[in-house]
Amino acid sequence: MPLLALPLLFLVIFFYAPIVNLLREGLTSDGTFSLAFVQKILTDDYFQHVILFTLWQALLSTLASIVLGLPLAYILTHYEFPFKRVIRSLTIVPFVLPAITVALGFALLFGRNGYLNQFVMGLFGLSEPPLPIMYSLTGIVLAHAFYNAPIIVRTVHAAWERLDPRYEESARVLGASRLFVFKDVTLPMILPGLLSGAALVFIFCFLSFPIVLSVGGGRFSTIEVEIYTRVISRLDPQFLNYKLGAALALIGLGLSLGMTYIYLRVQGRFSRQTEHLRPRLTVPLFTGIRDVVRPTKLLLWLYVLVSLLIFVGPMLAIIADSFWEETSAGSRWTLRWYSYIFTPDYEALLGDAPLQAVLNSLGFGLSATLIALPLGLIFASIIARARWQGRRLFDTLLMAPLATSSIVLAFALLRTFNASPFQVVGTATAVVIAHAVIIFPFVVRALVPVLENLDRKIVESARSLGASRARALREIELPLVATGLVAGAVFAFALSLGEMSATLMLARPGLNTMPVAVYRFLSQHSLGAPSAMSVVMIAISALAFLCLERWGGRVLQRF
Amino acid sequence: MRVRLHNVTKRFGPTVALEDVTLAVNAGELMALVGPSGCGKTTSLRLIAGFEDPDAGDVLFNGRSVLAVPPEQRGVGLVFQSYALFPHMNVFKNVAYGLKFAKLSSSPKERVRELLELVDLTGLEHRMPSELSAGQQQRVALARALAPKPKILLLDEPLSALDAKLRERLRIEIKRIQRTLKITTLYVTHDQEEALAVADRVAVMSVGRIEQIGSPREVYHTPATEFVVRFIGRGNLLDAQVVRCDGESAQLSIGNSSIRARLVGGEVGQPVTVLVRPESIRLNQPAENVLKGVIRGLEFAGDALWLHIETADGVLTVKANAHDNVPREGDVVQLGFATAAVYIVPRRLSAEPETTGRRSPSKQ
Repeated sequence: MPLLALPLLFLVIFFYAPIVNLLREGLTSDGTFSLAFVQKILTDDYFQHVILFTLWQALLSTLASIVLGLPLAYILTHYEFPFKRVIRSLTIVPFVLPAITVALGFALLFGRNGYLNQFVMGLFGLSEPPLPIMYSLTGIVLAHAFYNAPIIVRTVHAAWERLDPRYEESARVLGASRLFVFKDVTLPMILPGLLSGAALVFIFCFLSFPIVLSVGGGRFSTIEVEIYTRVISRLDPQFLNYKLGAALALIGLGLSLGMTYIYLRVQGRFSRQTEHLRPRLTVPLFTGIRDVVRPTKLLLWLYVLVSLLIFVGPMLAIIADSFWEETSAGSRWTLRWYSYIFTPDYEALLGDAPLQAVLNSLGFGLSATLIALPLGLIFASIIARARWQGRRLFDTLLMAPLATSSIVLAFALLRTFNASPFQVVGTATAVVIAHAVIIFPFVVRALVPVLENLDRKIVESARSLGASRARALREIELPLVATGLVAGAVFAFALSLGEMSATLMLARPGLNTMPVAVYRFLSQHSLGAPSAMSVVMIAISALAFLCLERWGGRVLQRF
Repeated sequence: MRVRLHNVTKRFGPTVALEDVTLAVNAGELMALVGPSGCGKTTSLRLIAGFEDPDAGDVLFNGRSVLAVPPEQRGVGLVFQSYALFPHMNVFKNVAYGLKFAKLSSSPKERVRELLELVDLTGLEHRMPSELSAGQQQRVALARALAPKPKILLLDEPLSALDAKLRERLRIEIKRIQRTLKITTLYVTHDQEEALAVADRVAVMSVGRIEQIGSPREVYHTPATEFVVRFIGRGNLLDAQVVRCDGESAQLSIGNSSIRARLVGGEVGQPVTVLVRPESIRLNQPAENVLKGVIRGLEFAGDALWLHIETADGVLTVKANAHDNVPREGDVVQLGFATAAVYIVPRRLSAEPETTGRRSPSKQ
C-alpha cells in the first residue's frame, strides 16, 4: 500500500492540484467566487463561435475518419490479400507518430506550393493552385482523418472479427437477405465498437492542437488554440486573458470529461465475448490476375488511391523535401538539412541550436518515461487486481488526466509552479513533469491488460512450490510481463517524443524539442530543416512501431 | 420434405470434409448425425442450410436440387450450439424475426405466442437473451427457428452447451416437439447416447464418410464397421478365427478358448473381430459361452457396476447389476454369455489403406 502512495501523490501534486488551481482561477474574481468569466465566455459571440467550431470540426473529423476507416475495417475482416498483416499493424501508427509531422506532411503535399497543387497545375497548365486544402477546414478535417481513421479501423475490425458469423447465418436461414442481415444483425452488433472508436476519435479531435494550429494556420481557433494564444500573448496587465483562458479551460475540460466518460462506458459495453466463437472465414480479395482489373473492383481502387494520397502522400512528401534544396541555380538533391539539424550553432528562427532540440527531445523523453513507467506500473497493477468497486475509483482517477488536453495541463502548471518556493516553470523539470503527466494515463492503460493477462494461479503455483514472494516476482512474474513492460516503455517514449502542445507553452530558449522546432520552422515557412527533423522523428516512431509490433500484443488493446 | 445429400464431396483447401457422402432424411423423420468432432457432420448441415456449396454432388429437397437457392429461401430452421440469439433483441423480437420475411396466415404476435407456448416459455416475451438461463435460451432458439414454419429443422449440437441433467430433459422435449410438428429433422451431435435416445434413425460418420445408417437398435446391436463398434456404446472387441460354420452359428477360437457366435458372415479359417456388449455378460452363471478371468477394477455407477476383468484373451468390460452380491478386486469369476450376444463385426469389402487412421473414435 505505501507504494500506491507514489503514483497518487504524483497525480495529486502535478495534475489534480494545478488543475484545481486553474479552475479556481476561472471561478474567482478579486478573490471571491464568481461566474463572471464563465458567463462572459458563454455569452460572448466570439467565444461561442470558438466552442461551436471546436465541436463542429471534431464532428466533421470523426465522420471523415469513419468514412475513411470503415472500408478498410470491412476489407480486413472479410478478405485475404498480400501484406494484410502489415497493413493491420500499421493502424497503430497514429499512436506513435508526432502530430506535427502530419501537419508538416500536409503542408508539403497539399499547400499552395505543395506537390499536389504543383502537379495539377503542371498537368492542366494552370496559373493558380487549384486545391485550397491547406489553411482550410478541409485541411484540418483531412489531417485529423489521417490521424484517426486507423483508430476506427482498429475498433471496428476488432468488433467485427469478434462477431460470431452464426448470428448472421441465423438471420439468413430465417429468411433475411444480405441487406437485411447487415441492417438487423451485423450493424447493431458492431455498433458498440464503432461508437467507442468514434467517441475516442471525437475526443482526440476535440483536444487536437498541433494540427489545428499548423494546418488551420491561425485562421481557425479552437478552445485549445484560443487558450494557447491568450496565454502566449503576454500583453495583458490585468491577467484578463489568464482569467478568460482558465474559464475556457473549465468549459473545455467539462466537455471532454463528459465525452471521455461516455467513451469509457461504451467501450466497457462491447467487451462481451462469445464463448464458442467461430472464426470468420476470409476469402481472397483477388481470385486471379484478371480479377484485379475487373470493373467491380473500381470502388476498391478508388479507395486505395484516396488512402495512398492521404496516408502515404504526406509521409513521402516529408522524406522528399528533406533531401531537396532550392537554390538560385535551381533545385537539387542534398544532405544539407540533415547536417544542419545536428549543428550546435544558434538558429534565430528557433531561439536554440537545432542540435539542442534533438538532444532535448531524447532527454525529456527518457526522463519522462523513467518517471511514468514505474509509477504507471504500480498504478496498473492495482487496477489489474482491484475488485470491481475499487477498480472504478482508480479508472475514474485516471480518466481526468486522459481527458485533459496538454494545453490545459501546461497552462495549469504555468499558473501553479511559477513562483517561489515552487519555481519550476522555465526549467527542464517543468517540461519533463508535463510529459510524465501526459503519458501517465496512456502507460497505465497500456500496462493493465498486460498485468491482467498474468494468471495469479501461476504465481500461486510458484509460491506453493516453495518460492518466496520476491522470488516469484523475480523469476515468474517479471519474465512474463517483461515484453509488455518494454513495449509500454517504448510507447511512453514515443508519446513523449511527439508531444508538442504542452512543450510549446512551457518551452523557453534552451528547452525546445524537435516537434516545437518543426512547428517554429513551419510557421516561418522555412522548409527542409523541419522535414529532416521530422524524418528523424518518423524513424524513431518507426522503431517504436516495430517494438510495439514485436512485443506489444496487449499493450494497445485498450485503445 | 425429404432431404438428400447425393454423392457430396466437400473440401476446405487440402482437407476433405466430406467424401462422396450420400445421406437421405425421410419426410417427418428425426435423423441423428453422430460422429467425433471434425468428421464432417456440421459441414453436412451447412450444405443443407446453404452456407456451403459442394465441390461435387447435389443437395436435394423432395428430389429437387437446391444448390441455386440461397439460404434465406431454402425454408430451413437452424439451431446452433451457441444459440446465436440476437443479443440486442428481446425474446419476442428474436422469435418474430423470421416472420418479417415469411408469409404466414396468422399474425406475428399470434404466432410468437403459439411458439412460446410450444417451448413452454409463455410470459418471457420481453426478456433479453442475457436475462435467460442457458436452457431457456435454447428453447428460444428452437422457437425462433420454428416460427416461420420451416419444412426442415437442422440442429447443430443443440444441447452441448448445457449440463447433463438439463440435456436429458431437453432432448425429450425436442423429440416431443418434433413429433408434434412432424418436421423433417437432422440432429447433429457428437454424443452417441443422445443420438440413440432421440433419433428415428442414426447416421454414424467418421472422417468425411458415412459408416452406417440405421435405427438406434441396428446401430447398437449390429454395427456395420469397427468404427461404429468403437464409437457407439461400450463394447468388448475380440480377435477370433472362424473354426466351423453350422447353420445359424459359428464356432470361433479366441486364443486358448472357443466360443460360439451368431452367424452374420465369415468363412472357415478367416480372422474376424467379434463384439460382446458388457451388459450381455453374466457372472458365474451357466451360459453357452464361458470365459474365466480375474477382476482387476470396479467402477460403481449407481445403477450399475462396471467391472474390468482380465482373461487369457484380454481385458473385458462387464456391466453387472449393482445389487448383485458384490464381487471384489482379485476375485476369480466366470464370464458367461449367449451365442446370440456374440456378433461378428463385418469387414469392409474393399481394402482401405487409411483404415488405421480412423480407428480411434476420439480423433479430433
